[in-house]
Formats: sequence, C-alpha cells, structure tokens
Amino acid sequence: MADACLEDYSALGPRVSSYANELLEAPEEEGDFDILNDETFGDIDQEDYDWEQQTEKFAEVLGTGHKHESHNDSGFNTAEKTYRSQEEYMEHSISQLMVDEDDGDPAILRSRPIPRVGARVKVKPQAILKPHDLDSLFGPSSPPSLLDAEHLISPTSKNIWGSPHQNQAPQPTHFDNIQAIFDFAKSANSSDHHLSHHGPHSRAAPMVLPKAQTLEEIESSMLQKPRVLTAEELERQLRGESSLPPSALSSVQNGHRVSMAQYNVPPPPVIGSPQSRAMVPPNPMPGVSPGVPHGVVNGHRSPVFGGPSAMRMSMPRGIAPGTQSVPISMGGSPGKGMIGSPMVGTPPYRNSSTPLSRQSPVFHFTRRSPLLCSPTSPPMGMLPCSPLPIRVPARFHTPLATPNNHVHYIVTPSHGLSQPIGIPLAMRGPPPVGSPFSSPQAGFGSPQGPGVIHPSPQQHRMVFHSSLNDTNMNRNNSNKYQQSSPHMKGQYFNNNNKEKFTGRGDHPSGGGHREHRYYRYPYNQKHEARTEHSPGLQKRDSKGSDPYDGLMTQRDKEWIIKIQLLQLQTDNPLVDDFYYTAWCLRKKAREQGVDGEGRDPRLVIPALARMEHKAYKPAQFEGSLGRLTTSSVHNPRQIIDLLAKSMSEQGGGKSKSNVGKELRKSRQLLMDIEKGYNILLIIEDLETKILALPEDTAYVFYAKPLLEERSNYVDLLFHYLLCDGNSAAFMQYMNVRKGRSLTRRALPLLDKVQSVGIVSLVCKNLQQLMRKDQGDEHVEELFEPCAKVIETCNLATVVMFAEDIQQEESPSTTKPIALALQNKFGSSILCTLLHRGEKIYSSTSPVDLDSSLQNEWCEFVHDFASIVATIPSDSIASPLQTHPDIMEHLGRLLNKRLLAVVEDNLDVFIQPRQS
Amino acid sequence: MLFYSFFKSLVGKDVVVELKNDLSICGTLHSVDQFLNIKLTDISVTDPDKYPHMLSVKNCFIRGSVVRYVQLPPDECDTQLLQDAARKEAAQNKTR
Repeated sequence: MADACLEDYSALGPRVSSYANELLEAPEEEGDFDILNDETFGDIDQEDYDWEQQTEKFAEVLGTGHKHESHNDSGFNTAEKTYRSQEEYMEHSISQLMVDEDDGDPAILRSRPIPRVGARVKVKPQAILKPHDLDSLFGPSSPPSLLDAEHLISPTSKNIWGSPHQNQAPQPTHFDNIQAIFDFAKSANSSDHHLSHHGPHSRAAPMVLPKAQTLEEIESSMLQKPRVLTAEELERQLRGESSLPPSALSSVQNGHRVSMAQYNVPPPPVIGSPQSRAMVPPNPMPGVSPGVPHGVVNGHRSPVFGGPSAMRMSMPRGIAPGTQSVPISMGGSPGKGMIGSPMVGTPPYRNSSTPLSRQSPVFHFTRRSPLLCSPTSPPMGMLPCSPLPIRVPARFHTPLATPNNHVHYIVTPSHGLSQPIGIPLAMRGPPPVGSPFSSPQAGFGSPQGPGVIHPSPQQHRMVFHSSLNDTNMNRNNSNKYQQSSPHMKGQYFNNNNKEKFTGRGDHPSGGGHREHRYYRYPYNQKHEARTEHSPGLQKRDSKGSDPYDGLMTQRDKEWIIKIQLLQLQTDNPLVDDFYYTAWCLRKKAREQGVDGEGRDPRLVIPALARMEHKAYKPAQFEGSLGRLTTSSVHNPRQIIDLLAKSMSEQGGGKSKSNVGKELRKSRQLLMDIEKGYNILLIIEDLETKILALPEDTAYVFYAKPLLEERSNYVDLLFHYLLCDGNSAAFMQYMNVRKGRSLTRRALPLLDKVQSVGIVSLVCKNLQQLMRKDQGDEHVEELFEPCAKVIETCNLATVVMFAEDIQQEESPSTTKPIALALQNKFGSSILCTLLHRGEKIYSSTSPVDLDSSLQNEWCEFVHDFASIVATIPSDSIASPLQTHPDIMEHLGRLLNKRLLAVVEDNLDVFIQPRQS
Repeated sequence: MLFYSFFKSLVGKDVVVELKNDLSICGTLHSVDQFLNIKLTDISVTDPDKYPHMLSVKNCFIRGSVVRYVQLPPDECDTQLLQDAARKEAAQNKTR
C-alpha cells in the first residue's frame, strides 16, 4: 500500500524510488523537458519571455525603496517614508525590532537567525535577485505573504481555541512586538510621523508568521481612534507633577529606549502611591483603585490579541521600539489564546513584549463589558489568559513610581470572588449552588494550594509599570528589558518583582536574567510564589486561587453541558431509558402503596409513553437514480445491511456443533424461555400503552386495537410456552427457574381458562415442583398468582385442583397431600384451597352447590384432616398464607371427633404467620 | 443506554468503584453520563495506605473507561427489572 502511495505521488514530489525511476527514464533531449515544462507551467511564449529580464524588473521595483541601504542602513531614518500600505509600514517597523544588541544573550543565540528581507547589502541597481532573495521575497516567510495572512487562514474561520464567549481574564500571553508595532503604527498614523525612534541598529527583519487574521485586526484597529498618550504625559501622570524634562522622554533617538509607549502600557498601578492612582484605567472595576491613568486607550484593538480586550495606551510617538532582535513571532502559539503557553525558549521577545502582555485584567474587564455585545469571539480569538498574572518586569518600574520598592497591588473585585478577575461582570455570578461540581474551585483542592496567588495583582502590577524609565536606565537596562520577563505568565509572585524592584537601576542583567526566566508551569509557582507576601496578597493566598480558574466561563460550561445533555434527550424514555423510567414508576407506586393512598396505579404511569417509532427507514425519493441518503446525527446513514440472525437460526446451527445433546437441549430450552419473556415484555408494553391512553371517549377507540393485540400476544404466549396444558412440556419449563418466573409473571396476564389450566398443571406436578425446588425458594413465588387464581375459582375448579393434587403419582407410599404438607408451597396451596372451599361454602347456599362436588370436596377435606392428624406437627410446613377460617370449614365438614384430633395441628394453618 | 439508565437509578447511593489500576474508591454516586463516567462525592479510598495521594480528595470524576467494577448495594438493584431491560435492549438491537 505504501508503494501504491508512492506511485501516486511520484508526480508530485521527490519520492525517492519513483524519483529514481524518473531520473533513469528521463528524456535525454531537452525538447522533452520543454514539453514537460509547458504542461506544468502553461503556455508561455518562450521566445518573448526572458526570465532574467523579468527578475531584473522585479529587482528594480523592489529595490526602489532600498536604494539607500547599500550602506547597511535601512534608511528608515534618513529616507522618506513612503509607505504604500500599512503592511509595508509594518514590515519596516517590525524590521526595526531586530536589534541585536544582546547577542550574548543565550536565549537570543538559541533562537533562529532571522533572515533578512530586502537586505540590500551592496545591491547594485541592476543586480539580479538571487534565488534566496526571491524566496525571502516571495516565499512563505516573506513579509508580504506574511501580511497576507488572511489568505493563509480562511477569513471565516474563527479561532478554534477561542471561547465562544469572550470574557476571559487576560491571558498570560506575552506581549509581542507586533502589538507594539501596531500600536505604534496607529499612533504614528494619528500623530505626526516622526517615527524616528528606530535606532541605528535596527535592521530589517522579516517576521515569523503573524497571528491569524492579522489584516483584519489591523483594519479593525485602524477603525478605532485610539487616544494617544505620550510617554510624557504618562510620566507626568505617574508622578503627578509637571512634565518631565524632555530629555527623559525624548529618547526617541535611542533605539534602546524601551518605552512603555512602545507597548502601550500604562504605568503600573501602584496602590497607594499617588502616581499609581493616576494610572488607573478610566473605567476601573469596582473596587479597583483609581490609579490607572486615564491615558489608557480604550477599545484599542490589539491586532494580535483578542481584539476588544486590548487596551493599551497608545505609544507615544518618538519612542523607539528599540527592543532586541526578537522575532516577531507571537511566542510560537499563534492561534491559541496564549493560555498557558509556556515561555519556552525565546525569552528575548517575550521580554520586550511583556509589559504589554496583557493589558491588565482590569482593562480587560472594563473593556469587556461594552464589548460584550458582540456574541462572537474576536476574530483573533486571542483570548487573554485568565488566571495568569503578568509579571512586571523590573524594567518597568519607574524610579518615581516605586520609591520604596514596594509594589502594592490593586485590590480588585475579584479578590473576593471565586472566579478570576478575567470574567466579565456579566458572566460573573455564583456557580450553581449545591453541586460540588459546579465550579472547578469548589470542592476541589487547588493543586497549587495556598501558594497560588490570584492572578490579578500580578497583572496589575505588570501592566502599569511603564517604561517610563529614565534615559539612564534605558541603555543599561535594555538588556534586562528583554529578559524581563515572560513570566508574566505564571502566577508569579510579587516577591520576584520586588527583587527586581530593588535592583531596578543596577540590577545585574545576569541575575535578572535568571530570575525572569520563569516559565509558566503551575507547579513552579508553588515553589516560587511563597517567599514574600505583601499584606495585600495575604488574603489571596489563603483563597487558594487556582491557575486553572476561569479557563471556561460559566457560560462556556453551560454550553458544554447543554451539548452533552442534548445527546441524552429522548422522546421515548420508556424505550431508551427503560430501566430508570420503570424503576421510578415502581418506586412511586411503592411509595403510594406504602402511604396507603391506594391511588390508581394508572396515574403513576407517566404520559410519556408514546408509540414506539417504527424502525428508521432512510428517506427514499421517487424516480431517483440510486438511493439518496439523508442522514443526521440521529439517523446515521446505513452503510452496511446487517440482518439480525433470528434465534431459531442459531438454535439450528448449534445442532451441528460438538455440544452435547443435553446441553443443546437445555440451551434450546433457555432460548425458548427467552422468547417467552420477549412476548411477555411486549404484552406488558402494550398494557402500559393502554393504561397511558387518556380516559376519554377516544379511549375505546384507541384501546381496542391495543387490547386485541394484547390478547393475541397472550394467546401466543400461552400456546407457545405453556403448551396448552401439555404437562411434560410445561414441566420442562417449570424445572428451570427462569421458566418459573416466566410462568409467574405470565399467569396474571392469562385469561381465566388459561390460568386455570396452568394452575391445574401446577397442581398436577406439585410433587415434582417441590422436589425440584429443594434448593430454591422460587417456586413459592409461584404461589401468589396461583392463589389469586384459586380465589376466583368455583367449587368445581377447586375440586379439580384438589383432585389434581391427589392424583399425582407419588413415588413413595406417602400420599400426595402429605407430601404437599411438608413443603411450604404445597401446604400453602392446600391451605388456599381449603380457604377457598370455605368461602364457597359460606357464600353460596347449599342448594346451588352440586352435591357431587360437595361430596368430593368433603372427601378431600377428610383426607386432609386425617393426614394432618397423623403427621407430626413439626413436619408441617407453615403455609405462606394462613386462613383462620379453615377451622371453620373443617368444623363444617368434619365430625367433632376428627376435628378434635386435628385441631392441634391445624394451628399451623390457622394462626397468622409470625414472620 | 441500559447501564446509563441503571446507574441513574443509583444516584445518591453509596458505591465502591474498582478501577482497572486496582484502586478502589468508595463514595456516593453523584452523577453518571452516557459514557458511564462517574462522579463521586465524599470519597474514601478503601486502602488509604496504598494510595495516600487521595487522602485530601473529596470529590472525583472517574472516566468510564477505567472502571472495572462498580459494587452496589443489593437492595437498590431490581434484578427483574434489569433483566427485562436487558431483554428489551437485546430486542431493540436486534431490530435495528
């Protein structure tokens, strides 16, 4: 099969074997090649088409913008910026990010070297583009195609990882440079274009695949007019004083200025500090301290992250996004909501992106509400990762903001809530009460235990540490900047941050580097997150917040549950869900019986019993060729025609096997009994249906056919199984326990004649039954229906029964009655018979009773009495039902003398059972 | 759906679930689904010494495929009804 595949693919690709064959058989003349080319590439006019010329033309076209780059200068600063499109702009700006200052950074070294796009090193105007340039230009990694991401991914496809409802808490996604760039781009668009912050070190660099639907995001974000807040204003607000010296902010020339502007992140909200208060977002969540600066851009849709939640402060112009040479990849998890994506391996870009990483959950939260109206998730589907706090890199601490090196956390409303802060207010509600499974936190110990910190503080913390660093810091700290971390993701404890805070200015890059290298593995948090607890966090610790909180909102969970429950819904519970339904009915009936209400059992039966559907037949269309199939979840199409084998076939098949005859016979017997059961069940179903019919005039109409059907089945059952009174066959069934149960259940269903016949059979074979039943007691179950039958009999029948008992041939000399007396079942039968006799005698006048019958009966009673007298009372088995009036009856029929003898032993029959 | 139906009638009863990894968990049956995944509340491991990591667990969700046995209280099971249900199921499967 593999070979076949190879053959199939030989035309497509370099399969070794087929390729080898092709080589061997390749035509020697070029003419053949050309023919092949024509087939492949179409009818190109070979004479006119000069590919070399074509490529030169391309080179010119592409090279126009890069004429100045022969000196290894991207020309960004010097050349006039003529951006043909947003994409081109982005391409350029992103390329500027590839500043590799920290080549010593092992993480950067580890990462792939970034191919350069459009690098026109020593490009001659007429230079022919080399193939690799071509590739870089037109290949999948080239910026234009990157930017054409919309074609890579279906525009209609939503992010499958996204929640249907957008609301999560901010993801621990690292902020990546694309975001910065976009924001920057926006601000650039809206403000002046002195984007001269691209440092000299910036190089054009292609990006890795951007996120899905980048273009869409771009467009949508472009639609919004973000409010631009310069770094100046930010710092001003932070410090609550007049504007900073321009030098502090205008490090635009400095490519290393890692300004927050670049990340559109407002300075961290430091609780209690006046500066921090300025940082509170405009629409703080209740309880959030109003420390967020008003400069927060609202509704600034991050092209990278899940749209509406991206609230970033626009980058002030003139701030260079001079981050490290970080690939613009979104951390390698483009499509996913960055939830839990561990920061593996590429801290550099993480670093730069961190502060932005997620807009604070506060932002998210506030943003969410107005944007919740859109039912669909943001196209990007980059859901913020809810539970993970964003680590604030030390970088972002302004020297002013944290004079005492303490970061206080904003007390967020989520602090007291069981759900993470990321859940928007609309969704936020208590989980369903009572169920231990209603919320993931309830009832389940958090794996992190108390060590887990509620994500919010971290998020706040990080977000607002602005890159309002001093110019001093910028340079020195640019290293750390990158390293700062990606640890936002983890539920990171502020202790680490604190350490950073302390070393703000002087923090050795190595140390910071190491510290920040924190990946978001929840179990790490347990160890890391313990050391220092700020007072504000103490409470959160004890809450034992769960890193997996809020992965799904309540609505998500309900949605999933709904789907699952939908699969379980059934129209016909009595069929699909038979056991449970029947069990409930019986339970109710029992309860009602216990209560003594004696309600009509019919009422217990729910009105759900509907007619069973016919077996599904796929829809067939007239006059169509072939069988058109319509299939759905409930009616899957029939692929194979399977015929169920009937049991009789199986029975016939067995005869040829090596199974012994006896075994075969017994198995066949069992099969027959099963058939009987099936009939029984059908009858019971019919009865249920009949009973379920509404009691109205239509009742008769509907009931009739059902009743008929029922009686048919009953007859069938009787004839088939109970053999029309054939004693031997009957006994075969009765010997098997299953058969006895079947008889027991069938007996009430049979009509008078049939049931009498059965009881008669029973009586005739009483001894046998009793013998067989030595171990079991199941034959006693048979008693009840028999008794019921007897209760309705007339004297003749009773006499008949009595005779049947007596007529049975007993192997030993003891009389059948005697034998019967020794068995519970037997004695019960006898007792019942006598009782019935008494009833008859007492209810009917002697005139009506047939004298011959009476005589026979009398005889029977005498026999009975004599045996009772002779048998020691110990051996008499107490009947299941005792009837005191037997005494009376005996008195009626027996003479006093005999009665006296019998009296003692009759106690067994007379006294009510004391069980 | 026979056993799903059956377990539904056992909700609220105490059962002991023995898993294929030989872990036995005793608890109150909270819920069951069509895959016979089981949720137990107030669980206790019958042999805590052997599986001490379950000591702190109060409720658990057990995937249906890992269950070997479910030990039930005998009073809660109506064998006759169960037999009937099984026969019905067999009959239905035969006709389908």
